[in-house]
Amino acid sequence: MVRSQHRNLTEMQPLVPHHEAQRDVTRFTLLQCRNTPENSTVDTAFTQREECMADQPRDLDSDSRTRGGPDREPTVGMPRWVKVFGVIAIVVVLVGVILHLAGGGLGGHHMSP
Amino acid sequence: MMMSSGVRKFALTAHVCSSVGWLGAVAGFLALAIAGLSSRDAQMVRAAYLAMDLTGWFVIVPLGLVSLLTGFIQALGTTWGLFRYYWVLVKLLISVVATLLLLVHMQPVSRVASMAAATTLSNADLRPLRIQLVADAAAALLALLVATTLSVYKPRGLTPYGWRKLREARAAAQS
Repeated sequence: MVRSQHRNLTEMQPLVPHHEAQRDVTRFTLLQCRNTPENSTVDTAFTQREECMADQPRDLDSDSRTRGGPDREPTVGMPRWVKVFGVIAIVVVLVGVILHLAGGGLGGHHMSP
Repeated sequence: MMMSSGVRKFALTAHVCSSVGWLGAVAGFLALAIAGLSSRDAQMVRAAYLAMDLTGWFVIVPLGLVSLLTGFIQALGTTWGLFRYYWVLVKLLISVVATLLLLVHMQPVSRVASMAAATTLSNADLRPLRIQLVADAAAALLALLVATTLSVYKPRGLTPYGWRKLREARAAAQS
């Protein structure tokens, strides 16, 4: 049993985070996941963890790593994709409003039956 | 409040089914809108707008509302949260705006359908409104495709609120 647990731990090594931020983040995620009891064996804990994290947040570590490293407080910043998305959304909304106003499309809402 | 694994999977299944169903129904709605606008066959035009009215009220609106509701449940019942991640927030905005616009634009659909049922629509009748229905359906389809893509890719990025919750969780874990 002990040997089996040791083997599983070794197999898990690539999945275990190495630096502090990743450990914190993993702990954060697992703490939120109530399906992982603290006294589980390695086998059951690993299985439950995988099951739990299948659709759980897992990009916190990436953000910590890219924004200042594990020992520093992560800086809060808006990702580039959000900015690009916001600009596109504003343009689409403006075009929609202009088309509605120019083409009289909104008149359809007030059209008499 | 965290959901148990079984409840979470059930809620996720309901959310995926309603969201993908919404997407597919809007694609069908777009096909009907194009057929209603471009067809020269009066029976086809009438059938298209009547089908759009039925599909809109009895398939698209319910699926949209269920998708929104199950999305709320998914967000609030898991660690994703509603305001922690930008992709969840963007998807929430898309769903809310799409649902509101859908409810607003269903009234013109019903009017065109009732007119199509009562008279034979010529190619010129209500043309701006019929073009608008095509544009609305295309815009809705695009918005839902974006929302689906966000769900699959889950691009990184925590909101300021998400960072605050993370720090709180770290502090609680260390104490």
